Amino acid sequence: MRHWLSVVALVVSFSYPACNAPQVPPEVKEAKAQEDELWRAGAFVYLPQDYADYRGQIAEAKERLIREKAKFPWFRHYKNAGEAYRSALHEGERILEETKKIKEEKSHSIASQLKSFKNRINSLRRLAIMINGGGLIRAMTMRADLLLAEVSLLHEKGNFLEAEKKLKNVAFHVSDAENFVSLTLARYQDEALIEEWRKWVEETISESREKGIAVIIVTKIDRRLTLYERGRLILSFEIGLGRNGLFDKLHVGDYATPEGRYRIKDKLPSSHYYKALLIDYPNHDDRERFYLNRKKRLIPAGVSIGGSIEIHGGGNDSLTDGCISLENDDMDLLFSLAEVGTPVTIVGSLSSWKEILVKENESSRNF
Amino acid sequence: MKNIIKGLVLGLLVMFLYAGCAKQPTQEMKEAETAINSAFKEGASIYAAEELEKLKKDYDAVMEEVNTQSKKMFKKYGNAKKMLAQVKADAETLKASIPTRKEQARNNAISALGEVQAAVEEAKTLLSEAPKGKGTRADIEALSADLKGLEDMLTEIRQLIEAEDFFGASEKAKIVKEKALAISEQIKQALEKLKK
Repeated sequence: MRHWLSVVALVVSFSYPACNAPQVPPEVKEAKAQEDELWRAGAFVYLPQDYADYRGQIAEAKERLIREKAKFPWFRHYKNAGEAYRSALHEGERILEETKKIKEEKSHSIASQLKSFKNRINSLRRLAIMINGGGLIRAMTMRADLLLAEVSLLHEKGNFLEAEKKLKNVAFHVSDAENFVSLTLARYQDEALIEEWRKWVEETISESREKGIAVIIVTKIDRRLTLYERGRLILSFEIGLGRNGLFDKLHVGDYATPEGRYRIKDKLPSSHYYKALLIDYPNHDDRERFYLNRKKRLIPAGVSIGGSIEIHGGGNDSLTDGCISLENDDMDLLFSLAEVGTPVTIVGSLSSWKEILVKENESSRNF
Repeated sequence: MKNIIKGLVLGLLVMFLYAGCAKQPTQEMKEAETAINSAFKEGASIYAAEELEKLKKDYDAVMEEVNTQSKKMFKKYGNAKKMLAQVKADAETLKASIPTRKEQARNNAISALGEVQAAVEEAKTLLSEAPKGKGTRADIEALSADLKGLEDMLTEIRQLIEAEDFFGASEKAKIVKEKALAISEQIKQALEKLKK
């Protein structure tokens, strides 16, 4: 009987502690959930070193837990393991918060860059139209625009690192296109030239005031023709220019619109493009410059100076061969007010380059 | 009674020796690891990233179990073996599903490329039919340049498909298609304006 009691006591002594073994700390489960959350948040991407340290802490805590689990139930004490888990959880929370903060900052920065590049691309599109021969710029801009759409998609998906990488490519293409525009419009950054153009316009308006006549001013960069009478602005129209309209005309077939002080040579009530006012291009200054350029071999041999530059109808959104084109209704009005001998002053711009850029940026913001 | 106690003690001793000397399931561990690596090599990280991550976590859990048992006086690897068999089976199922997923992604990319080509072609046709008069030449030239930019992207999409970046190709194709459709819309609106 005594022996039986010993056996029962042995069995009870084995099974009792097993039933009353200390519980695994709740932090173990919490840590597993936190590990998942950190992985999904991308902590290993944004804070790789901190995340590696955290993993080290978790591994250490697990090791302590395993050591305890390996013991007989009545020898298990999870205090140390629990503390290690709590410390790791605390660090995990910090990393999670930090990761969220970094992602938020990146998201804001990318969103602001997206907006800025969008404005620059719209501005480039308008500048490409402004300089007519903007095919290359449009192609460059389209490339940047497509990349920007990819960045936008990555931003939406929360893939900020990839978005930042692609933004660098966008910056490259946009800067390339801007440099190209800048080269094309270099003359419009020449303050001395702009001052000379301003002087021509002031003298032309003074002539209108003093002689009581009508004068025509064409500002190429603004795509605008204005008519003054007795020194007062009477009419203002939007115009179309040559394919290379912002360049100064040097020779036949360059598709540029000439700059200078001209006069209406002839009124053509019926021309190829509705009504037309023929101007006296080339004038004395144009010829002098042409011969000088030919001497310097800046103009191909056998090429003439060109002529037949008109202000004509046919629509203002066109690409002419160098003429100035207006809507037919506007042409009717202008034709009725202009006479043979009316001064026509054509300038590149009256605004500084800075003012042009500000105007362009403002219009692209309203795009 | 003495015999019973002797038998019990002997039994306990045998059980202790048997359990204490139980070996880690190294063969099963190796097999499970190989199966996961094999699924990864097949492209699971691209076509089934979440599922691959779950597999890795399952494998980590098994390792934890093995580690726990290895430190116990009475080692029991039965559960770990079961878990390893499950991980191996899951990895093999995942690996087997990759070619189908890859094929699906390839087909989607090729179909997206076809849609982009059609959209670009439509825009080009519309542009070629637009009246090239005084009032439209600038617009036509600008839109042609835009289309040229889009056409260049077709080559890039083809290259991505060749490089088996099917998701990248599909995403790019979607963006280019949207732009091509926008250009077509612009042309249609311009043509409408001309009619009026």
